[in-house]
Amino acid sequence: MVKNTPDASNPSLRGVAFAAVRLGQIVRDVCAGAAGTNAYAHYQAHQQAHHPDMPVLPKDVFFREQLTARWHGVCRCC
Amino acid sequence: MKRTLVAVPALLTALVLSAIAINRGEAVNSLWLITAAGCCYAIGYRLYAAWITANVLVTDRTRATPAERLDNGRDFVPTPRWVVFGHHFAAIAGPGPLIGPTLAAQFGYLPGTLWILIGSVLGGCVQDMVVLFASTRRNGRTLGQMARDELGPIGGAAALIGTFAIMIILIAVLALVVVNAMKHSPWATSTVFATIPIAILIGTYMRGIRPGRVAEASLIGIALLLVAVAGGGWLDHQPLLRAAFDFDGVSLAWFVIGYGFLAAVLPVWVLLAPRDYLSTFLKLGTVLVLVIAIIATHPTLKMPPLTRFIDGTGPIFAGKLFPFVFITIACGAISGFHSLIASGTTPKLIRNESDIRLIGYGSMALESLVAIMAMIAATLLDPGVFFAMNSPLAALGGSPDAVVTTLTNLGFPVSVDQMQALAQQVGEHTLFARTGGAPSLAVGMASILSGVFGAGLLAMWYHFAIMFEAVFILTTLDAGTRVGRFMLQDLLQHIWAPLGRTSWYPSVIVSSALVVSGWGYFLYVGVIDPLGGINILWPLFGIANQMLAGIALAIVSAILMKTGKFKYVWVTALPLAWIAVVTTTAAYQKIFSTNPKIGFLAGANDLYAKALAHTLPPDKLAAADHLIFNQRLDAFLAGFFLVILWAVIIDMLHTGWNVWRRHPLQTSLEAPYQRSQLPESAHG
Repeated sequence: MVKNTPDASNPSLRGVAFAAVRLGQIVRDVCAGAAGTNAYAHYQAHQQAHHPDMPVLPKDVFFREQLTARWHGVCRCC
Repeated sequence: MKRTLVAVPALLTALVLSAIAINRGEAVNSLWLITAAGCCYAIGYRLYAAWITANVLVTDRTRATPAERLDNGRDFVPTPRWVVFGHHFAAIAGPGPLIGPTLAAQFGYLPGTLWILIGSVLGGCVQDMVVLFASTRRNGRTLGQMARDELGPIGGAAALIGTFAIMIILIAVLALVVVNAMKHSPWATSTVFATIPIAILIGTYMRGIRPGRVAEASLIGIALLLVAVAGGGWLDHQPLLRAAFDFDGVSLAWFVIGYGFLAAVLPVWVLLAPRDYLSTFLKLGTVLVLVIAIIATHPTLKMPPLTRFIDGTGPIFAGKLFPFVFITIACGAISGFHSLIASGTTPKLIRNESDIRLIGYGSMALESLVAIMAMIAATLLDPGVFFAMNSPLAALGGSPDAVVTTLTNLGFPVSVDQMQALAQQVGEHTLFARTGGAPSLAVGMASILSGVFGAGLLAMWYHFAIMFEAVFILTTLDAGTRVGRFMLQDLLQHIWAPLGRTSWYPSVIVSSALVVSGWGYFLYVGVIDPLGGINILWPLFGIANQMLAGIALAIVSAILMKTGKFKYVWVTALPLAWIAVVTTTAAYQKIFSTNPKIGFLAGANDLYAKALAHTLPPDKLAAADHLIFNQRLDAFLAGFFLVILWAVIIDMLHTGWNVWRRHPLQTSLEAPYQRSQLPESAHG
């Protein structure tokens, strides 16, 4: 998911800058992942890789099914 | 490097705890508490949790997780660990860790804080992590299924019934908290009501206008929520509108009951899912802002470390320090409910077994920190104000004047003028007897936040905090009612198959109505009880939640024994033993204590005798029938929870005995090893 991961092991100023960029990428990916915004892209990739012969659900139907499935069991606590 | 990482928090903890200990008799700064907590979690995570994963669970980074093996692009999805951490934390952290510590602050700050720290590091975090591990090794099976597989039909049935019962009690007590916070408060009521159309709007936006644009929709929603808080303040100054949103407890209870029913029947995208997004973002944002604000303002705790109420005479709830502090604070120290989450969605997302420590142990440590912050928010208030807000009028004399006199005589000075001035500052009519914990937490949060972000905004922050808690609670209420409905439908289909169809409207309506009337009943009785109802319902909820924790710990103990980890079984068996002792003592006292303030049966008999002798005050006499029946029902429930807990424990001991004798052969249903094909790590 993270493209051109910079080399964070370099202790120079450049390295620090790269580390900051990398941190930003992680934060962005975590937010996207936690909000589920990249779920459809993942699903598409999965279908293409594993079931290329099967039809791919349209985006709105996919999100609708995701939502229903998610709230079927215990998913929020006290 | 690694050694310093452990040594620094270890030394700091020693320093901080000795500072807290030496400081007895004078005020302690909240910064000490935050530091002590942070260090405890660091040590627990780096040493204890690491040792458990390495030696007891023996997590294997080469083993493919169910997310990899069963990847279907939907529910089984190998996910980066920080994303799963976010998911899991959002799922486990609800209103519980905010309310329990607030109520338990009546014993002083020390008992609650110690229990939150020790309970989480050795109990709660371990429970969450081990259950998560067990479920991950079993293709993400739920707690109930694992109970059936590993213990047998008794364990399975107990887990099912326990889950259902705790759901009902939990929803009732949380609904009562919200009702008490909105009672005769037009500002709070209008703000909370406004969250409903805002959620519907956001739901429509996410479904119809821009599907899947969660972040964008949530930002709009949060902006609207802030507008609603400010709008409530404006409305509070309009006499006509003010009157329109001024409700008593019973009307609000009916609103919440009707709302709960609608929310459970409507499709999830309308109300539940969008509000959940809003509350998740609010939660993460507010927790972050609170930590920063506490560090920036580092308020001094005004509550003594121990109060005189450890003898059991507390006005907020009756009962001695042992066992009641361990029952009152469930979430934040150890919460059985988490085991349902740790065996639900989360194990299906785990990318690698080595992530289990961060997700299981780490998330719970963070939730425990939330509980510590709630404790700080409660104990930085003047103790007199804290008790005047959280005690029912009837418990301290019946009128504000009597409450003030009683509290001042008990050594917690407070005056009616002081309470009135504070009420005015936060935009409330009165702050006396605002039971349930939400208002006093809101005052605490408001004073922390306004210390950093504008002192003139106390009223705004107060109502922001109330809205924040209400949004949480309503999400738990909808989600819980819906889950209760599914469980009930699952059960009812054995009677008549069509009742099990989750999208057949007659069945949906009947089962939702049954679940709603279950918690609605407890809510209603709580509202008409002049003592506020929280003092009865919260301990019952605590007992139920700890019972579920006991069930979960018993299941994982059985799993450890069956998988050849007999010598390490104490890791889960010791917390289980403590939970069993605490829950049994508390339930026994709640049923059989001869003190009518503690014992349900004694309370019912006391009411009955007084009703016969015509010595009850009129408000209590009107409700006496309901109250007597309710106390007897509560006694039955407490006993029932105890029977379930011990049935599972005995089942577990029996399994352990069989393992010990190696007869009959005991097998655990772990999914077979398969080598992981995923690259080592996609994310840090």
